[in-house]
Amino acid sequence: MPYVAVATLLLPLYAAHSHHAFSPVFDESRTITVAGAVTEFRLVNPHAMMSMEVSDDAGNVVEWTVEFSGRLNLTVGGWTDDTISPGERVTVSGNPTHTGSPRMFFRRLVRADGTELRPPSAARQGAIEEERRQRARARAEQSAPELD
Amino acid sequence: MSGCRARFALLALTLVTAISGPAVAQERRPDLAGMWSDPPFTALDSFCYFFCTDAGLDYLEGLLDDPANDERPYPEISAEASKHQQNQYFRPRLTAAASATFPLDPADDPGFLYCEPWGFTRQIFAPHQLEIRQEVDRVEMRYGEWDARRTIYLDGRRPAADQPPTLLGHSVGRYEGDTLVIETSAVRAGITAWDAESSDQTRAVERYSRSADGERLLLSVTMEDPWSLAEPVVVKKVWSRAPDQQIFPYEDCERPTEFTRGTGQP
Repeated sequence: MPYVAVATLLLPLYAAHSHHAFSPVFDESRTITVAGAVTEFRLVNPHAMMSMEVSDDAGNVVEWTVEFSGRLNLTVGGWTDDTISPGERVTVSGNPTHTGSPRMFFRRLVRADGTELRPPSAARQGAIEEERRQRARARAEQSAPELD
Repeated sequence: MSGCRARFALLALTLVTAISGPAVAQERRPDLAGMWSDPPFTALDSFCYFFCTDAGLDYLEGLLDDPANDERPYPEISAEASKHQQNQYFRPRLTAAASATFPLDPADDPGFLYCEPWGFTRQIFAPHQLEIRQEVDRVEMRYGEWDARRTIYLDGRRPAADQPPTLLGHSVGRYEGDTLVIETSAVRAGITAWDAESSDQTRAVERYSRSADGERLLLSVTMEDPWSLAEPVVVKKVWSRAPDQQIFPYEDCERPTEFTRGTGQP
């Protein structure tokens, strides 16, 4: 699959708290998806990095860089040096750069077998949305009229 | 006094000191030692992932309680509360000098542009790991971000009058009941966590304690800076106990190859 641009609103969990100047490089209001073969994955600080080869519409191979949060953060979610291996074929979604360069900030990776990889913040967001659903249910129960 | 008596007196003094220890060792102290990391997975705790204020938390709670917001994703309402916090709490407390550049463009952050480690007014709120070691005469703090390290002296020593300001300043601490209180001064001018400039006149009082269940580390900081703040600000943060986490080297920072100015939050 070549490079696919998707205009969508995908706010990171800490949009206003980006502590490594995310916004000057990446456009958090859009996501894109590319597919290709991983050539390198480095689990380092302050940002983990992945390189991959992606074929464009003309059949040219373009090297893409995928930037992740750092090892400090990813290891909290159980990531290791072997979480992504060179040679793997993957489909990756993320926030593109403002300039349109072949680079993105990671949001989601799908392996050839269909399994997914998401940033550790996805688990936090899932737990918070469940807390909010419980809060809404409790509110609704409190405001419901009592039946005799 | 004969030489024998003098030696006896010195020995007795040494024994008394060894048994009782220095004055700082006799204080009851809370157990804050160990590894702490990002806050629990709740809406309010997560708002304090980097830093928060009571004004921001109250506003967020109002948004969470309003049924009209039930369908909005958390990142969206969290960002709204952050914006409120910036404009309704921090902005009115800034001096004209600091207001002129608030909020700073994230593309001008030296940490981003030049891989320069954070200064005190941002580092103490750093996300991820914070490892605390409590010794008799000092507390050692090590942060995952930038692998920054601080020593907090418990013997009351003051910085020398001619000591130049440093990145993380000079910190002295004491225990007050269940709280570690740290006073910091002699910090270099820098950038705060809330994207305002700060000066080398900054002084801060940090208060660290554990939550009632012991699982959270709570920080409340009162910060003063006559150059940037018209009145003190009170800023908070939360960590979770994280005994299984560790701090990894922080040595692969790369300067950006491309960036755009003017992308920060208004």
